[in-house]
Amino acid sequence: MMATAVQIHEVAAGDVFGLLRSRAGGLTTPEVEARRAELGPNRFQARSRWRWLSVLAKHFFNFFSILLDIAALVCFVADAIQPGEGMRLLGWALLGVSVLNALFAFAQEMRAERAMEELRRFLPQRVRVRREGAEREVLAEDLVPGDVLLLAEGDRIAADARLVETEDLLVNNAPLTGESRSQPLKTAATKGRSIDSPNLAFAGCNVLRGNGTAVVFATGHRTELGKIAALSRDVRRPLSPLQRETDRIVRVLTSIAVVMGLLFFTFGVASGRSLWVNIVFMLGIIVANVPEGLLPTLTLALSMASVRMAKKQVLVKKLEAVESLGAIHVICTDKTGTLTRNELAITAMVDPIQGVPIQDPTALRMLFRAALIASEVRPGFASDDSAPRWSGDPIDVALAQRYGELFGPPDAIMAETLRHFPFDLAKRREAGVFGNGGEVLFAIKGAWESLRPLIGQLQGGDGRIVGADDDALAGCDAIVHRLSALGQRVIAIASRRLDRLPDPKAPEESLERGLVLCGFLGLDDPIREEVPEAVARCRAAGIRVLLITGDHPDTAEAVARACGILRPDDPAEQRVLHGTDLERLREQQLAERLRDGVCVFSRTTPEQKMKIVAALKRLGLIVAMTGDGVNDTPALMAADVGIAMGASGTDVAREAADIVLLDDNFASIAAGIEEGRAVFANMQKFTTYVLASNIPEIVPFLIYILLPVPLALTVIQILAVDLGTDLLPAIGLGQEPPEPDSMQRPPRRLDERLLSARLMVTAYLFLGVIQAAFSVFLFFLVLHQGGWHWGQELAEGDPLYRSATGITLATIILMQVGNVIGRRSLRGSGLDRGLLSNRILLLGVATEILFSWMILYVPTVQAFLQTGPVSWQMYAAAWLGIPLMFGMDYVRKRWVGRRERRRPLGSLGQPTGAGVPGP
Amino acid sequence: MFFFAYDGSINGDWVSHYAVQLAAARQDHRLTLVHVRNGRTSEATLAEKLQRMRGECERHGVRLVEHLLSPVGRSLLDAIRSAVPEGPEHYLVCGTRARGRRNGFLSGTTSEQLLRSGHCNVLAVRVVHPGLLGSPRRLLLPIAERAADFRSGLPFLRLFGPQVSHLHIVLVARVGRGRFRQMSHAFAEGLRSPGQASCERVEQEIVEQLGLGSKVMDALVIVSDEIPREILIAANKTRSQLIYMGASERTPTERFFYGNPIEQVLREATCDVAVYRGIA
Repeated sequence: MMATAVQIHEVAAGDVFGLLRSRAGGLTTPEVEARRAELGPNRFQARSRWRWLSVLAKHFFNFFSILLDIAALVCFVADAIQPGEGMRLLGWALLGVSVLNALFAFAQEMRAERAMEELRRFLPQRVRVRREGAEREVLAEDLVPGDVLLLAEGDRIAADARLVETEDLLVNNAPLTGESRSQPLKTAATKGRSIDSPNLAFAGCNVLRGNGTAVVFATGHRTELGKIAALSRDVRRPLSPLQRETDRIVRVLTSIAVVMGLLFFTFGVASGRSLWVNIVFMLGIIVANVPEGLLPTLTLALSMASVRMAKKQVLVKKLEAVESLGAIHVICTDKTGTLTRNELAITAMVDPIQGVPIQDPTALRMLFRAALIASEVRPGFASDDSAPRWSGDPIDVALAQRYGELFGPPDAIMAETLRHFPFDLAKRREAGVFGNGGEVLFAIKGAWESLRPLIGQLQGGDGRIVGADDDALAGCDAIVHRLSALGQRVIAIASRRLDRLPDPKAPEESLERGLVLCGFLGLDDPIREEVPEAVARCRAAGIRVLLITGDHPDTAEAVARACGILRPDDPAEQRVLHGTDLERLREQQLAERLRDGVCVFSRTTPEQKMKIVAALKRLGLIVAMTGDGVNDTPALMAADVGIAMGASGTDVAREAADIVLLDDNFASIAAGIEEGRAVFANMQKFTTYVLASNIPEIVPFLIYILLPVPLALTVIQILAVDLGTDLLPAIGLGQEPPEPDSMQRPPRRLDERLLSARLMVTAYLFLGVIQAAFSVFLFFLVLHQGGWHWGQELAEGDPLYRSATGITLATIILMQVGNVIGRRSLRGSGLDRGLLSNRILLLGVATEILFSWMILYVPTVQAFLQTGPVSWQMYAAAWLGIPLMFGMDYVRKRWVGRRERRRPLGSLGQPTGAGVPGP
Repeated sequence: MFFFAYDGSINGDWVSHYAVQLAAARQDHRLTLVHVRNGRTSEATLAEKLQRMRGECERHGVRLVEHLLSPVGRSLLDAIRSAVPEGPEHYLVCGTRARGRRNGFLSGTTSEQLLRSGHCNVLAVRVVHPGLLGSPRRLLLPIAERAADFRSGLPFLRLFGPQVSHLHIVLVARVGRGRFRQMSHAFAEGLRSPGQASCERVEQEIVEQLGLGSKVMDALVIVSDEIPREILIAANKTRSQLIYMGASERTPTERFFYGNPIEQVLREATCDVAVYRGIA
């Protein structure tokens, strides 16, 4: 058997140099070079520096872009063969749409690289090392394993290193652990996980105080911080629901367009038409089928939704996240600052013997004094003339403030605290020594579990002292449980009188005996007022809220109950999972526990968030995850929607997230969800609107190729609709406010399509057919009144032909006015949404009306679009298209609504697609 | 017998921790060091390095036997093979190539030839985290869909066994890129089921063969289009300290289309990587 399997933190400091093949005087230059050649420089490995090229290429060569590019190329070729047909302009327009779409998608994807940039900033530029027996400053990138690193106050650590010498060394490991308290470092060998070891200094962390010498054992992306960076870089996120849908829309619509174009091209060739005419047909069919304006409209709708969300304190960093937020099934939320205000206040001061509040002022003063001796606060600057401010750990600040309220400024206690033992993360306690003339007091404060074994006596609020026997300690356990169950953070305070000041080098352990328990303090972080209602809204919207916290299970449970995450009748043992149990569970087992209803995770570490996200995804759920620390970054990247805290979060978390909560408030997430749901509904509305005009654009080509009649609509006229008049009303539809019941419905099904069969039937076979029939009817009416006869060919410049195509185009545009009003409501007429409530839509309608007139009567527009005037009676007839479109659509909605109401209730209930019970 | 092919490099020094730890896990507590003098390491340096190694062996109760060979016209491979007896009862630990950026860390090296030769049980190690001192506690064991392939890793895994606190088995079910981007949750779950069954068989076998408790193990099936990348992600997610993977059996055609997963893992891993090929 392997007798002494050890890692670097488990060996004595004296063995470190030999094991890492180094020496006290440091490495030699050849040794440094050999090691750098082996492991590379000490920096986080970014993706290839040419990655931006591949990303750019990916977006320029996707299906949609290629189609538009080919169409543009054909236009340029056609223009070269037969100039003056407007094909060059068409080519440029298509190319412009293609390039803009690709550039926009590229810019979105490259944002992800910024989190890595922020992480790189955690490493210093230069460091002090000992090499070849001499101290020198080198680039941090040049560090290699075995290098002797010299640490001093204010340094940022550049690599993971094992300490061999320390002098009062205190570091802040917050980037790795999320724990804001400082950690004292020593050289003694320890057991357990290396990340918790107090003899290791980690890259990216700060030296707050003291000096030290350490030997580097991991560099670059092999450091603990580097692993977070690597995971954040590599973690794979599936396409967002919206990306999938847009991909599908592009695939379906372009397939339809290409197949139809090729079919009619082949038919044209077989029927003996000229190649030029066939090319024009093919292009016309393709251009008519591809809704060129749809993707830009979609992007604009998301952008404008993100502006609205910013007003609700939700800053959107990745546009698709707007819609993803509307699709989520689960929100995993932090506690502190998100559900609570992050304002600790002392609300209970409890006698350890009787379990009642301490009333006696002397006992209270003694309790607070002991607590302050074991604290580290610094006076701060008040922004106004109110009470003095303190800076430091939130608990210590709360203590100083409360002491000030009760007994006046605590400056004397601070000044006479001669020694401080910083908070030990592993032991979960901190201490101090107070000396005031003849009185010397050692005081300690921390978690009750941590202090319990050290307690020798208990002191009551009345000054009575009893021995700490089993019964007395059991009584204390009950007090702690009771306070925790109220959602309070509990700290125990104990002290011991000393005969004289201890030796300045005496270890803390030598003083931690025979302690007298002075009492318990309960600290409350009040829940934000708006949170319970926001949780209830999420519940009504079929969204589950999971609480993930590092707090004690009782505290977590109490907060979850107060927020409504746990119902009053929910049994805690089935709903609350402890971090140690979570660690043991496999992903599949965790998924089962989640399916069974676990919704509170206590005593968790930030790394465990990743596991929770993976298990939720195994259930097929769309997950939103909140986070603020550097070590939350991988989980933020892995979730479908990563939500960072704007006020308290780190830059890395903010860069990694899709969404930033500017006020750290959970209620803002709920507001964002409603907006996200509205976005999806609005997308369906404007997709229907845009697709409806495709049919009256296609039908003229079909008629033209099948019958001996003139072409009722030219390619440039089609583009005038798709990239011109349709855009503004479509954008207006993207601005529609949420439907009143959007937060009373469950999240949309995972298989619910943006481009559903129902939507296509409505757009193509109903709305499109009406538009096509009426516009083509007016086309032939103009021709007929102008003396045209069946089979007669008309030249492109013939005034009669130009008037006829003009009325076709004007009719389509006017009928789109009726269409856009109807689209505003899924079930109502559309007028019920208020005529003046959507200004962009109103502007779009006005533009359509104006443009329908200009097409026919303004010479420059006539010349550009090759149209001509018609009689005012004919133009008035085109206006009939508006009520025709709107009226028939309304009749359809009533009929569909009646049919749906007749359906049995069961068929209306839509499963969420989630494998978890509804909340 | 247990052998360590030592090249005198710094990676060789770091790999020596593994060799010593694994030799200490054997009954005979004996490690035979094979070094072919190549002129790149001076005698003085070699002596200093060997002295350190002796000290480490002593601390672990391992008897170090040194075979310092002189090159006599034979290839390095032949020299090592002549010093290491053939057969499943023999074990050889070696390192990977340094400066592997362009050529790869294993491709074309003596270590790769040793892995392919089937001469004995071979383990090629790349150390990027010298602080582990050859004592990884959390292992990631990527397995192929042919579950039987992992058996050649059992001889060395048995030696790692006593110190292992977590053994994460990961199976990546590969799908095409287009399918991966568009696949539904139900489709992915469908692909996971056979993989899960394979993992269970492997777990069962490890429990029976090595006596590792099932609580130590964890199995994960991932559906993806990029096997090496998923292995790297899994290693980071599980905080694995060693990726313990089998030597690739890919044909040149497969390598052309999919690349060499071992090289990708060796290049980008944030923890140590050990490539095995056992013949037991």
